This record gives sequence, structure tokens and C-alpha cells, in this order.
Amino acid sequence: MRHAFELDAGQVPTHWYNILADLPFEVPPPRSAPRVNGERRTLNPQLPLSMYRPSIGRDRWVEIPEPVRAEYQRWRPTPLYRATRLEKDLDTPAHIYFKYEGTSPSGSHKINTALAQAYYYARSGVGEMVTGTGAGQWGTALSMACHPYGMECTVFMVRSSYRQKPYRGTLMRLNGARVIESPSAETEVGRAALRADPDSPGSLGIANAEAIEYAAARENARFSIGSGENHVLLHQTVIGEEALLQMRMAGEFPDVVIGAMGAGSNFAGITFPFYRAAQEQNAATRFLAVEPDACPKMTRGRYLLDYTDYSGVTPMVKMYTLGHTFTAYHIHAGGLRYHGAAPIVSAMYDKGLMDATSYSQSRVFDCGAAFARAEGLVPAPESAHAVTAAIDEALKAREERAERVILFSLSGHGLLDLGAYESHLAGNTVDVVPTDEQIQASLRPLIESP
Amino acid sequence: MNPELAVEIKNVVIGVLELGIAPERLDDTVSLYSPVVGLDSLSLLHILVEIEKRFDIEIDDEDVMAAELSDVGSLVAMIRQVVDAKGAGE
Repeated sequence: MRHAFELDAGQVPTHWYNILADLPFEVPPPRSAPRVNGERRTLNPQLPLSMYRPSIGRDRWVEIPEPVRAEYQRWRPTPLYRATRLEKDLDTPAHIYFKYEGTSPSGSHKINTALAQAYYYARSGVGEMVTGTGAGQWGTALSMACHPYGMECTVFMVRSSYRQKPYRGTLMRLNGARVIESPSAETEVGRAALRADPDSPGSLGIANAEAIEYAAARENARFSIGSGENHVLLHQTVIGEEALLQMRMAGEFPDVVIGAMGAGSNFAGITFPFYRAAQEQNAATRFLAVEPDACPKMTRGRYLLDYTDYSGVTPMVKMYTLGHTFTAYHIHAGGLRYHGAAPIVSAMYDKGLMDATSYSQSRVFDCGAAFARAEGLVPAPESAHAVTAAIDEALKAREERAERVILFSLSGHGLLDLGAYESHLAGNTVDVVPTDEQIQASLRPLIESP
Repeated sequence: MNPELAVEIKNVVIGVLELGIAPERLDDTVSLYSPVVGLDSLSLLHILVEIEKRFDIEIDDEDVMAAELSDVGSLVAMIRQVVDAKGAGE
């Protein structure tokens, strides 16, 4: 029997948790992007004010609108399990717990913010949501979230993932979305990227830039993003709030909380509520972000003002970044190829409140496969990064003969990533690490700018 | 027309964007995209949140999304409408 800690639908959180209320410092606000001299055009706000307002405020609790909570209750609360077979395979005294977000309709945590955003956008009178997606989890989630609100959905999907994971596109189209391979010929940004490199694998930065340009040309369309913005992190805290209750059921509190790090929403979702709880009970819990060697924004990037999109039309935010023109090697964990880390997570990392580590793609797939064999759940390649760090923590506990409590977020299932696992089993996994020169090249313009 | 309201709104814009200029320099015809203002949609939201606090009002999503803002005057006019509507409701 699986060690499961289940909550009932009535225990779905009624509020999101705003960590800004508990940080002992200010997170630097966005800075406007420079504009062309004398340019005249109208300004189209992209985000609903009612959604954005609480994400920059200092109110600790933000009420989840009832229609959004009702949607959450269609599959939430998600289960929290203890990975007893993995513990046995590793012969570790550590207790390993994982919060499983793969039971959601879209198969990952992304739908937690997609549904919230769709609610606010629809209420604002928007008719079409446009976005960029890396591995496809975000695009899938948004396409599913638009449907209940009668909105159209257009998704620019990073080319490398579009080709590696064709069923992601199918799933989005099945939900009524228009899916466009990025870089595309539909936008000036895409055409420029294709002129520069016809074989470009694409990047989330380019896909988002295409989505922004596409949305700007349509009156009733708005760009939406599911990465590292404050409101996205806020919506994802339902993960950690549930996990807090579930760990209480288990009678334990984690010594370390681990999450894969793309832009940071999954990581924030699992860690932020535990940050608050650790503060309240003076626990020395560590928070560990796990990124791929191929896109080491936290472990090898710099804390600088940078754009969140490839073309540099968005406001600049202070974040750990590899530079917005950095294009990571097309690893299977496409959701972790984003060049920057969320401003809140970055600020916490800068202050020493978070740790970060990185792993090679081959090690991640080895650990993902070991987890799948032990626990019968196939992790998404992104989530397998958290699995890998959890395994390392458990092995360290074995060496130190310490009964450590480990919690990680299994942010999505990998059933649409079996091609990647097949390739790994066939010995075809490639490990590519950017050189210092490559990272410096994309960071240099930011370091040299005033 | 309440000229003081316009000055207050311009002061919020100057404060949020850290423009460091006097409100008189922010003429109604100055483009929101000019080097003087350099506004983008996210900064606009920050300005609106600050204005909500200053005037104790709540601006509707629909009003923001439907707003066609091109110059300082159009921003002032939009906020004036919300403030006036609140005054009429009281």
C-alpha cells in the first residue's frame, strides 16, 4: 500500500499566500523598457489590474475567487506521498515525501495559475489569450483554462519541444488552441530569429516575444505568461499550503524542500509556504532549487536587470539571469530552459535564503527512471531534476546516518515525454554545458549597460 | 475640471517612474512613450495601484483593459472619470 496523505475537497486552500508580507527586504520593482524617441501609439495593458494588484502588495493572504477554487476542486487537493520504495532502494534512513501535481487535468502544476489567470482575463473582457510555452505544460494548461471561460487561445511553442513532444501540440489543439511552432514566420521577431539561424531550436524568450507581438496586433487579445511573475508564484502557493497540512498529517516537518527551477513558479509553489512555517517554528529548513547544467541561471548566472523576453520589449526585472539572448541547448526538460529566475526567488537567493544546484541531463534521466521503477510514476523531465536532488539528499543522509526529512515537488508526469525516456534507455542522452564564454557573451550587454 | 486632481495624478506618475521633474513639465500632450515618460503596461499598473491608494478608489479591470492611452492627458482623463464616478456615488 502506498503511504498517501490525502485531503478532501473542502481543504483546498481558500487563500493564496503572498510571501512579500514576510520578506525582511523589498524585492526590486520592474523598470520600464527604453522606448523609441517620440514614438506615438496607444498603450494596451496586458494584465488585469485585479490580478496584478495583490501580487505587488504586502497583504499576506489573497482570497481565491470562488469560481477559481471551484475549478481547483475538480482535481485538488493533490496527493502527497511518502516514497517508501525509493527509500528502500536507496537504503537510506531519510524519509522522502513528494507532492504530486501530475494528477491535474493538464498533467502538471501549471494549471493552478492558468485557471486563475483565465478567470481574471475573462472578467476583464478579453476574448483571446496568447502565450509562449517551452515544453508545452504551460500551453496545455492555458488551452484547458480558456475553455470554461469561452476564450480563444493561441500558443507559440518552442520549436525543439514542438518536435520532441508532438502529443503536447495535439493536446493543446484538442482543447481548441491554435499552436504555432516558434520561431515562426507569423511575427517580425520570429522572422528575425529565423533569418539569424534557420535551424534555431527556439527559446521561451523568443516564443514569448512572438506572443507579445501577436497579441499587440489584435484588439481583444492579451499576452499571458506562466513563468516567474509575482502573480504566477502567488497562484502556485496552493501546492505548498496543501503540503503543509499533509506533512502535519504525516507528523513531520521537512529538513529540506526541493523544487525544479524553470523560472520559479513550481519552486515557489512548494517552498514559499514552508518558508513561512519554518520562520514561525524556528526550523532550519533548507530550500533547494534544481536547474539543468544546460541552463544554469542561478548557479552560474548574475543578479542583474534583464528583460524577460528575447526581443527586449518587456520591462526589465532584477533577476539571476544568463542574459535574455541566451539560448540553452535543447534538453528534454524544455520547461527549464528559460534564461532568468523569478524576481522574488532571485532576491531570496541573493540574500542567502535559498540554495541552488544543477545536474546533467543524463544523471537526471537516470534518477527519473529509478524513481519510476520504485514508485510507479514517471516524472516529467523537469520534475526529474527535483527527484535527482532528493536522491542525493537521501544518499547524503545514508552516509551521515541521519534520519532526514526530504520533501520535493513532483510537478508533473512524464507520460508525454516517453520519447525522451526511450532515447535515454537507448543511450542517446547528450550532456551539453555552456562555456563561460557563451554565458559571458549574453551577459556582457547587461553588465556594460548603465 | 479640477486642476489639483491633474497635478496629483501627475505627481504619482512622476513618483512611480522616478522622473524627477516638476508636474508642470508633464504637459497633457506629452506622449506616454516619450523619453520624458517612457511608460509601459506594467508601469501603468504600478501607477494605477498607487493612484488607488492615494484616492481610496478601486479601478475596474474593464476600464483598464478598454483604456486607449496615448498621452498624459488621456491617462488623467481616465482616472478623473473613475474618481468622479466615485464622488457621484457617495
